[in-house]
Amino acid sequence: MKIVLWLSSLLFSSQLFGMNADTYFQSNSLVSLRLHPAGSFVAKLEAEKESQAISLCEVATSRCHPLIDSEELSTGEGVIHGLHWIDDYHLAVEFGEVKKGIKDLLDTRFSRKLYILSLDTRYRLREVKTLRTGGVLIDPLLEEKDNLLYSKSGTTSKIYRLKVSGLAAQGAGLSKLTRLDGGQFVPRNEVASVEGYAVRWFMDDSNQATAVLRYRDKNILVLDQIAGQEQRQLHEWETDQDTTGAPFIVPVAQADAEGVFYALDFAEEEERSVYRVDYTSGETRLLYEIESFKILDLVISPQGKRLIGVKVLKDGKIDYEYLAQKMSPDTAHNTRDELLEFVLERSRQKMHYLLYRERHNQPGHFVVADLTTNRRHTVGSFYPHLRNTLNSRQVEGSVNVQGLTIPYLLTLPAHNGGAEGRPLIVMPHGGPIGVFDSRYFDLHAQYFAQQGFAVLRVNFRGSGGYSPELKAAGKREFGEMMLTDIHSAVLDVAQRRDINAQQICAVGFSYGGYAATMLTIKHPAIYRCAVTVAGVSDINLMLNAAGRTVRQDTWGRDNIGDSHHDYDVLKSQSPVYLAQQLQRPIFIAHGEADRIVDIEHAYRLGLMLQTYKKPFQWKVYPDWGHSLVDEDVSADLFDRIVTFVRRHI
Amino acid sequence: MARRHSTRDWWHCSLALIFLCLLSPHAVFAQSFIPLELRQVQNVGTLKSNEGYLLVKLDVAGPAPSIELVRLGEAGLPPDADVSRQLQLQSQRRYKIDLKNKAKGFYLTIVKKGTYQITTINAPFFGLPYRVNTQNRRIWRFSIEEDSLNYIGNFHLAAERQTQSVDTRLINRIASELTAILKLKDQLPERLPLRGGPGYRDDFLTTLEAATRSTQ
Repeated sequence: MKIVLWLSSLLFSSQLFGMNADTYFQSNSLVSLRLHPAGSFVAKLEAEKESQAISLCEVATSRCHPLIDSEELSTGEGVIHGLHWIDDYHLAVEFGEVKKGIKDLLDTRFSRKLYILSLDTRYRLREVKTLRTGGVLIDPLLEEKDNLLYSKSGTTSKIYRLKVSGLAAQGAGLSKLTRLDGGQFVPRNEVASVEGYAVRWFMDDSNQATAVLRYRDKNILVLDQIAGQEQRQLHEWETDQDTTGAPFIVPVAQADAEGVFYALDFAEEEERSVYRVDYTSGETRLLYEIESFKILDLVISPQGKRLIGVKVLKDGKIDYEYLAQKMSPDTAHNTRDELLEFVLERSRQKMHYLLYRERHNQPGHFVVADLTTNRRHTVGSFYPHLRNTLNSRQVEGSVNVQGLTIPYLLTLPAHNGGAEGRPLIVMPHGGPIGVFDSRYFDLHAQYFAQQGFAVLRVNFRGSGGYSPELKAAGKREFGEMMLTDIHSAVLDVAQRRDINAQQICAVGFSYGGYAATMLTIKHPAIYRCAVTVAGVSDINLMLNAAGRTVRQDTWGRDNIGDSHHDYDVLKSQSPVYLAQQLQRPIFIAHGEADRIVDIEHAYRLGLMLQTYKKPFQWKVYPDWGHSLVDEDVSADLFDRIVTFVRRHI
Repeated sequence: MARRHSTRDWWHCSLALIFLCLLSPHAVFAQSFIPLELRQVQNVGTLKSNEGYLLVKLDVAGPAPSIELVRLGEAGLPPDADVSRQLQLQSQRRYKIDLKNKAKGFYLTIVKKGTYQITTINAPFFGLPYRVNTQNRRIWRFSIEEDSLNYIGNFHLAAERQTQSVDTRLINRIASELTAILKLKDQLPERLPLRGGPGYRDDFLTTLEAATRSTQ
């Protein structure tokens, strides 16, 4: 009898609760893809634990063959930053290498290299060439066989047109008869030149330099517009001025109009905000904020120069995030199955297009649209093991809280849960200001859904992505109206017949962990448990955190509160000081290496709960920081969360 | 004759220069550092009147790191006080803590009660001097009460650094370190109360103590 029960429980869990956490959170190896100029292949960059691999995949058949591994390019630590086709048989590989340098001195230990993979007519690797002169690949000149544009910066900075055929093979020694890089850095190959050290060049569609960001003097950075031989200064920054706390918004890509650029704020601790700046009029608009990870570069659409993604550094690895289009606040309750789709690249003849696509229950994947056959071929996917396996539905709705429309996203598992409805996990996002939950793929919400939970994500006041009014309304509402918004959405959703209003648990990360704890303290009749992961537990401690910059202090005072003047108010909104009121079980999880919300927050809450003899579960991950990028931590954590929620909901 | 005259002028100039150097503010500062020696609990010594123990946990690297600080006065300061004026007034009371070759762990020193501002973190790297100015930042301030064990935080200075920046933090970890601190407190020569001493208001420890009393 016991065996029958055990077997039936296994069957029940595997059918009803989907795949286990280890399988679900297995590593995502795909980093990026580049469409071959002829459109019949894609070069694929994938990351393994210790190295990266480049392969070439045939679009029509999905057959791939390896080209090279990063370990073959360097014996030391190195990261491939980007791939660019130069022509049908040459693929440029931008490589950042950690070399020996001076011990402990980081900025002596990094160098950039450009390798060029030469392919034979069967698209197999023939040889690897190296560009040994330090510089940056400016344009692979797809329209010109064997040529590329490369910049070299110094007292005078120049762009050169170089021939791949003139470069030496990797590892080949130089002799009296061979000159470095084929002696191509000569005046006849110059295509642009400016005085001073060029940091970044901006090119138009016809491969002409249209602007340059350069150091005119040691401490003077200028942005110049270039028209033929003319240079016109658009903006100037004095980099030695004491501008503590002030933004330092510097262009990184050209936008869709003259004098307009996409820019990053380099005064941020890590670059996490993208602006659209008209350097002629001075108009600056915040376009996008990312909760964590440093933005390294921007992904701009080939047509229309629209910002479609950001290249980020996640736990030392290069990754891409494609941006959700602007969310529109919905007042109706609509089931949405919207597709996020961008054109990333097109072939030389414009008959093949590389598209990025994503849905709420379909992880991001890359498709080549072949106009010659009118067929679409999937050529790569993030989380390929999850493709076509997730069958949740998504409902978009909103509630009105004191005149403000608060949008929410409700993910419903495939099974409706019968007469009682589904248990509900409320998952407030982190941030909290400027960050938002998009209607597209969310790895964590989908995990809970495939485990049988409905998942509610609320874009409470302060959230970005919708309207300036919604974002602005979050000012100084960290522990008040933001929580009211989330709770109002919960009450709205709890009325649905497919939701079990008696089974609600709040689960959150960072600010979301704070919100989950506070909602459970304030409304024990509604929330049966709480999970706080890397959560804030003492607002005043957060505002006085070590390592905060003057700018962060000012932002915190304006948007959250003043820990001197408002100390008592913020204390009254902090879970640590309300621990005695907690009536429901809570799970506290934190990483010891968290530099955004220090682990002290977890210990404070844990100690207070222990003192008041309140039930709580505790898990500390020694090397984990603030972001869930490690698949082992993710699998273990989410397995524990689901077990905890099932036990207490 | 001309030569003798020139020698005398040289001596006058040299003496004038020596006097100028001695009177320069830099020379006064250089001579006015009072060294504070961090010791392990078994070697810390006993308190005199108006003194308290400063307790810090170190995790520092680098060839010869040190901290410079000033005492801002006996009274506690409001956390957002503008200390720049007080630093000028009291610039003669400058202290320096040498962190060279200090292994990871808890250290103590005896200091007069009052509020202190860490003004500079010195993180020289062989031929590359580097100073982090922490003046006016309340997260680099701490307070000492007499006859108390004052935990000021975990001081971290990373080994890996950039030419122009260094990763250094003073982290308030009173809850995370509480068990270890209480163990250390029992080893002090006298029984003293523990207090958290960040330069800003922090009610955690007193709230925890009150909660402990109320549940006993």
